[in-house]
Amino acid sequence: MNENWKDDVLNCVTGISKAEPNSLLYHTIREKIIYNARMKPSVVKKPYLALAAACLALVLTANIWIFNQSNVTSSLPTDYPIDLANFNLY
Amino acid sequence: MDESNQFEQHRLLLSQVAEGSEPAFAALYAMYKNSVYNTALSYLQNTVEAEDVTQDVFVKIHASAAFFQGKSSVKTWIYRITINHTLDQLRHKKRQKRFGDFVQLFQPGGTNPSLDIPDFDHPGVLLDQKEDARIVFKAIALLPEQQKTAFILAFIEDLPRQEVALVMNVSIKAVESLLQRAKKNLRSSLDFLLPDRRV
Repeated sequence: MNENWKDDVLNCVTGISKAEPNSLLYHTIREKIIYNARMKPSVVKKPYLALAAACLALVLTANIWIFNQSNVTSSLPTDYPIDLANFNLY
Repeated sequence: MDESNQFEQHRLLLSQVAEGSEPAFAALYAMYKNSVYNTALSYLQNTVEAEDVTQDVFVKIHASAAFFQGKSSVKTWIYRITINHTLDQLRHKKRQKRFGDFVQLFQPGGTNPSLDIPDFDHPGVLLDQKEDARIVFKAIALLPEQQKTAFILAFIEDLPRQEVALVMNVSIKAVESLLQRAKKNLRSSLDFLLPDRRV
């Protein structure tokens, strides 16, 4: 069976001339870009976010350490026993 | 202008777009609008949807210009964005169609013509070839994704095989094989789409 007709049909789309999009499309794109830029939430960049997280972790660790230290010191016996004599200095 | 010069010029334009230059973006749009629009049009076979995709692609190009790594040419990068976005759009349409078919099961006799694939007249086809082109585009719509991409890029967009391979991220041999299979499938589709031509 002669199959050449199929090639002829298929060739009709080979290298067809380019269609042009609507001439107003560029303005629509610009408007969308401007709109997106206005609506974009302020995003913190990753390195800054990491730095902030590290600072927070440092502050928390320091707080915990200080809290533990104060517990340790408060549980120690006092060097100067509070007696009546100490209150009568003045 | 030779190819490497053009390659560098387009790369420079993209870096200017990343810095926020509007004239650079306008120049890039003028260079690639037809490629983006026609590629989307060949897949979607609908001028309104193709314009929507063109719009989204250029918004994406603008947003990700700063992230262009330069591993490929700007042309290849833009084609990839276009094809990925268009295929997403096609998948979305298919899902909608499946949902429409499912809904129709519960509405006997009801039809949803908006979800059917209509006849498509490509604006670039000559008048005396419109009928045949309509059939070929119907057959193209039936091809699997990879074969469709290879056929559109190689025959409709007229890109060299090497460039098709770069855009699709496959070897030239794989492109040849995809094109052979695409042609074979298109020929068999023509048998039932144009039964009166079988002699």
